[in-house]
Amino acid sequence: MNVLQLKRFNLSVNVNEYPVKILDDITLSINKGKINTIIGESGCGKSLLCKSILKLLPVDSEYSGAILFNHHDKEYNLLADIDLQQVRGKIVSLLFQNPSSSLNPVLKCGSQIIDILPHNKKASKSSKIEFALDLLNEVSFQNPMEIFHKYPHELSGGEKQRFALALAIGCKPSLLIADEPLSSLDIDLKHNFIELIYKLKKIRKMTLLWVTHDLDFAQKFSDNVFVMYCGNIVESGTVQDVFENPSHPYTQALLNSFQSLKKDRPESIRGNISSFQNLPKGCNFYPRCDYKKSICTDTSPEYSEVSHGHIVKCYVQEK
Amino acid sequence: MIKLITKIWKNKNGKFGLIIISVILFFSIFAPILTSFNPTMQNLNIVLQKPSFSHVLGTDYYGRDLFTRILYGSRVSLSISIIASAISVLFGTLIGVISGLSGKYTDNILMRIVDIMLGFPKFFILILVISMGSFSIFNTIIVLSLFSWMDTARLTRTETLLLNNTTFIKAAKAMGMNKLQIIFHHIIPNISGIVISSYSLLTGSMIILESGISFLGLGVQPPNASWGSILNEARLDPLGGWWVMLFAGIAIVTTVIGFNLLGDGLKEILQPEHYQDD
Repeated sequence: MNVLQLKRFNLSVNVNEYPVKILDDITLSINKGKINTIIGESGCGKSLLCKSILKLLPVDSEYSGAILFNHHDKEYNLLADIDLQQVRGKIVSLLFQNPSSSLNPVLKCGSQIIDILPHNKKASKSSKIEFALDLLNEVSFQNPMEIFHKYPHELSGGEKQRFALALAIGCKPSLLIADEPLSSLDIDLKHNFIELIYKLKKIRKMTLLWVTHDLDFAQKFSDNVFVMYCGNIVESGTVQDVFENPSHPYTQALLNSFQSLKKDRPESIRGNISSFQNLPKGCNFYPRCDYKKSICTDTSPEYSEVSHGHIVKCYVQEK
Repeated sequence: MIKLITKIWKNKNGKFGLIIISVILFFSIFAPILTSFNPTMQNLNIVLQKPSFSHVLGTDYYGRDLFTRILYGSRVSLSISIIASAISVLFGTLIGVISGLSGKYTDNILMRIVDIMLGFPKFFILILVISMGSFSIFNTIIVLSLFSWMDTARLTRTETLLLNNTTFIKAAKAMGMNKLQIIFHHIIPNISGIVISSYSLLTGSMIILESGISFLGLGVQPPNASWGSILNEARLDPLGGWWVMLFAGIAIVTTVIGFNLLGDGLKEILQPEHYQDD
């Protein structure tokens, strides 16, 4: 069952009074209870896509298309402000990349947790504190009371990230979007953090949407993979589909360079990523593509299905 | 509160400011206990006496004890400036936060109003308004605060704009907090340091403004004292009774220095831990 659906979502951001298209024709659907991963190189619009789902857009941005969310047989339109207020934090939650900047520096951790409680809940103070301590315990803090009275800058990097996770899952969301949560952690903490999220996902029956550029992680831990390039989702499907039978030239090149890292001679993808101000007219990838056809320079390809659920946005694969 | 005071104590500027202001507040609150003289009672037998043991700071032209008059004068000057700057800082913060958060037209309109208000020569407007109506502490407070909120508004607007782009405000939005919650839980605590220190600095400049008005005879009317009006009376014979002018001047200068030092100290202490953008 689909929980989140993006239909032909476009986003342009104003740069120097001039609209620049960042997300182009994003269509994706996310299944309930699965771990979904978005991979792609830096600056391809992954983070912006995550923020757009909760409509945390830059000022003066323009969008079109639809973002729909299903929860308990009710459909929410995430681009409408009325639905959005009900969904943000309570049904869909976002974990940010850098935990030290996503926590308010002047408030104690305890009061930050109490703030996220649904505000119509007029609970007593002791029950609120109990809730906060339970939550801190759940993200495996050994001494929740101590964390409760600390300021964010007194926590270590790993503790900050776990605390940010506690805030994100505080209202029991059914979808957790994690925007590269591992990028600021070292290897050991990374593994602890992944285990923790796994555990929480099982207990709370959450759906996960990860953003990462760590292909290793994507291959090992996810169920579905979306490959992004220059604001497009170029390929999507299950892990097996994408990693064993890559169909888009970009995915092939990406996996090739990923495999080559394990050997002696690393290979990179030929050419440079196009800048958003200056995108090619047709397919965004054609300047770097080895299989380009004449049609690629003129029009952008449509989504086509390679096998069931394995979708690719390329002319090369069309029969 | 105790934590804040210990922090101020560790800061050099803050420590001096705090000492000066505490001493002055102590003197002004306990004025009736500290002196046995009446501030308005004239005694023409002891006109213009130099500082001595019976009159610590001497007497003025009407034989009133100068020490007593400065103490009672501080009550007027301090209460006007403390209350007026509190009102203007609160109002300025309100305008600044609204302006910074709303953006577009509201922001533009509010900031143009601030520009216009800043264009008025404050002191002359004050004189005009006060001379049109009759003097009362209430009127002075209103007029002083009406023309002093603009700097705070600009300051808090800039801070709000900066804060609004930080990740933790975005995170708060993503957690479903509404605008009011974001203002009270995230923006106000983060700008409170700047607001408090600008309050202290503004109080200092309010004291000068208030003394200026009283000096021109538009403030507290005789026989009641205010630091400005004591200075004005000293004008009659500046060399004959130099101590009148000197001590009233010292009172004003020390208080202003005290508030400025405290403001500077608070500015350093209350700076929030560095927050960054992503």
